Parts: sequence; structure tokens; C-alpha cells
Amino acid sequence: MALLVSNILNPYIPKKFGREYYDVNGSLQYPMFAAVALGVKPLFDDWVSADKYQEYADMCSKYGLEVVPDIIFIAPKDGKKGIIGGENITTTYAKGIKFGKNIDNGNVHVFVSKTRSMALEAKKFGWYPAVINNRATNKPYIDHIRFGRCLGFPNCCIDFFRKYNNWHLYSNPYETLKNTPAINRKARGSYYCNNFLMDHTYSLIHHLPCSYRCQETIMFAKKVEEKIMDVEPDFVEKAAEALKKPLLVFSERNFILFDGFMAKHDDNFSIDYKRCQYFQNTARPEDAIDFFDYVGEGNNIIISKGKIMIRDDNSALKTIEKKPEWFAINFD
Amino acid sequence: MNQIESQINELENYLGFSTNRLEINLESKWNEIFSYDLLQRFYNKDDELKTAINKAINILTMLIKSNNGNNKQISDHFSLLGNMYYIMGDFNKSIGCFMKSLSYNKNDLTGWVELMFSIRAYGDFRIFEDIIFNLEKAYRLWKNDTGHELTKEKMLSLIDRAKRIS
Ligand SMILES: [Zn+2]
Repeated sequence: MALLVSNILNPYIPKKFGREYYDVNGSLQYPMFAAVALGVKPLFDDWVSADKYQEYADMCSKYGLEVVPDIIFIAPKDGKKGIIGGENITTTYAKGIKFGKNIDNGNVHVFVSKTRSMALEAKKFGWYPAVINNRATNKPYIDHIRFGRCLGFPNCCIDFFRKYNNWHLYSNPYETLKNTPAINRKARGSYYCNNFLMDHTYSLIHHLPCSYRCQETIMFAKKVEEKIMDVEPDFVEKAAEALKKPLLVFSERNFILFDGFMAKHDDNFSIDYKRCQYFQNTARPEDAIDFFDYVGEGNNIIISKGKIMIRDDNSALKTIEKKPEWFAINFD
Repeated sequence: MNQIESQINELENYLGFSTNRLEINLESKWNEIFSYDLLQRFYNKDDELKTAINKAINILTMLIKSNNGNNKQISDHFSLLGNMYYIMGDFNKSIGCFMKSLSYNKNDLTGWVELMFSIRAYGDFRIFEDIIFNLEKAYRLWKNDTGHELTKEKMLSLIDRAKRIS
């Protein structure tokens, strides 16, 4: 039986709170906008279409928020080949140009906070390696720590990514998994610590947690959830539903989301699913998997130590060698 | 082994890695791994960071006094000192060190990258952008300049000239 490969996640249209945010900028960063506007998070950074910058700033000001622009990111025409430091690009691949109010293409990177001084402080350490004159340059590592503090990340998680947020040496999600205790008769992670959908609307956090059961993260995410609950309860319900879906993770921002159920048998994981959606890291096409079509055709996937088996009812469709850092995870 | 060499050895043992850095030019990427290693070494260890800073200052004083002609070595140590001030959060001092590093070695692009991030961390976003958007030109202008000391005024005038080159 071939299954539909369709989007599991849809944009969220706020009924009341932050509808103006959605109208200008869609819903991808809606929860972080809400968390900052509601005073649970000190700051977030965002991308806004250059031609809508003023509209965005005016809208934020209605919610008591200050916006400080960084540079403008323009979608590149070509691949990363030949770019000096191209391997430094891990999250956002774009060409950078100077911000100007009369520029109407590309997306402005912005820092948003209740105070201008906080937004300016974050800008000091919030550089992304945009490609300028064919060169992508990473910021000094300590800036990740300083930027994380500006964004209100828990200290334990900042300390964790100080070490593991190094794409040359580690897969941060896999390190987080290894640091997550397995609890009998519970899912592996708490949905409060599920950061995978953080740029896809449904998330209560926007950081890489130190564990998928990090207590500080859970406390923070619960506060965000409570505050949004008061003003936009439908979002909370939809976010919890999305965040409890099982995942097959390849690397940061590169995973499959399943509309289904995951079970553990000894050291193997089995996911029965009705639908699935592949999220790939557009900044790192080199990490993309080439077997998603089979996953889309199947309805069960078994993840064991060195292998991934994709099945359609009871027949095997495809078996793939599993890289050590790939893992399946569920959340409750 | 002379006194300077033994002090450098001692500092390298204290750091856990070499202070000698690969020079990079316009064709190579900035190696941020050095900043990763320094961060791992000194994160939440302010006292040890201060000790390392003092050791680096002593070495620099001796190197400059000895006049041994090894300008790359002096440049590397100014860069190291600048990186340590950067971790400490003293961006004014790190800016000074990176300008010194560029004064002693005009060929190394590293100094420009470290300098521009210090300027951004200091909050001078306009100058940061002027440098990063004109990095290659600023690098070439300084490399071909007859001056020996990259002062703040000199840097600003180089950037100004770089911006005007189409
Ligand atoms: Zn944590």
C-alpha cells in the first residue's frame, strides 16, 4: 500500500494573539515571537522579507517590542562549491548584503526584544556566516555562548553546546541523545525538549537542549506554554500534538517526522506510520538522504543497531546501512 | 634553549596547544578552531585566563625587546593575546592586540577577521560591516601600504579607501 507523502505540519494561523505577526511573517517563528512579547523570553532573532521590514517593525512596536536589523540575506543562485569557508555554512546558506530601507529583495536578519539595548547586545554576538565576496566566515566560538545568553537559553544547555556545537567534530543531537536518560515505560524525550520543529512553527524552545529531558528546558518551555495558553490555547494544543510525533534524526535540521507510533523491542525501534515528512537542511545538501522515496512508500520502519529497514505492511522495501549518529526518538 | 623559547614552551604547556599559527591569505578560510580550543580551555576559568594573559604579555615584552626579527612570532602572540582578551570580554584590548598583530604581519588575513569581530563585539557595527564587505580590499591595501603601524586612524582610512575602490 503506497501512502501519501504530504505535509504533516501546516502553518498556524493565530485566532487572536499575534495575528498581525502571522500576517507579516507567517508562523515559522510565531511561538518565539509570542514568548518574547509575553515576557517569558528576553529576545529572539528572526528573518523578515526586506520589503516588509517597516511593517514588521511597526507591528512589533504594537506588542512593545524593539527591532534591530542586521544584514540582508539573499537566496544564492548557485551551490556552495567554490565558496571559501563553504563548509562553515551549517544552518542558513545565503549571500549577505548591507541593510538599507530601500532594498526590497531578500530577508533582513533582525533581533527582537522588549528593549533596544538588549537587541543591540544580541547583535554584537549574533553573526551568521552569510556569504560575502565569495567567503563565509564563522564568528569566534565564544559568541555562541554570549548569543545563547542573550536569547535566554538555560545555562546547562549553553555549556553543552559550548562543547558539542562543533560540526567538525560532533553531531549535537546525537550527543544530546547520549546525554538523555532512558526511563522505563516512558518515551525517550519530553516534548518540551523537542527542538527539531523550532523553525517549523511548532516548538516551545529554540535551542539545542543538553538532554531531551533537560529539567531547565522543561521548566522554561512550560512557562512559554502557560503564557501562550492564556492568549492562544489552540496553538498549545497543536504544538503538543506535533511535538509528540516520532522522528528519525540524521543530523541537526535533517530528519523525518512521522505521523505514527514508535515502539521499542530490545535494541530495535519500530515506527508504524500513516504519513511522513522529510525536513532537510537546505544549507547542507551534502547531508541529505537519498532513500526518502522508499520511506514515503512504506508504512513501517525498523531502526536497529546498524540497519534501517523500510517496510510496506509485511514486505521489505529497502534496507539501508545506518550511520552511528542516526537515531529514532519519540516524545511524551 | 633561550629564555624566550622556554617561556613560550611553558605557555604552550599551560594552554595545551601550540601558539604557532598557520598564516592564511585571501584564498583560505579563517580557522575558527583556534577560538574553539581557547574557549574550551578557559570557559569559566577567569583566573587561569588572567595567568595565561600575563604569560603572553611577558613573552611579547621579551620578543619585542630582543628584536630577533621574527615578526610572525610577535604577530602570532599578539593574536593569541587578543583572542584571550576577547574571551575575557575586554574588546577594547582585543582590538588593540589585533591591530598590533596586523602591524607585525601584514600577510596574515587572520588579524583582519579577528579584528572585525572584536569591533562588532565592541558595538561598532558600521565599521564591522565596512570591513567584512571590503575585507579583501582592506587586506590588500594594508599589505601594500608603506606604513608599519596599523593605528585606529590608519585602519579607518584604509577602510575608507577600500570602500571607494569599485
Ligand atoms: Zn539543559
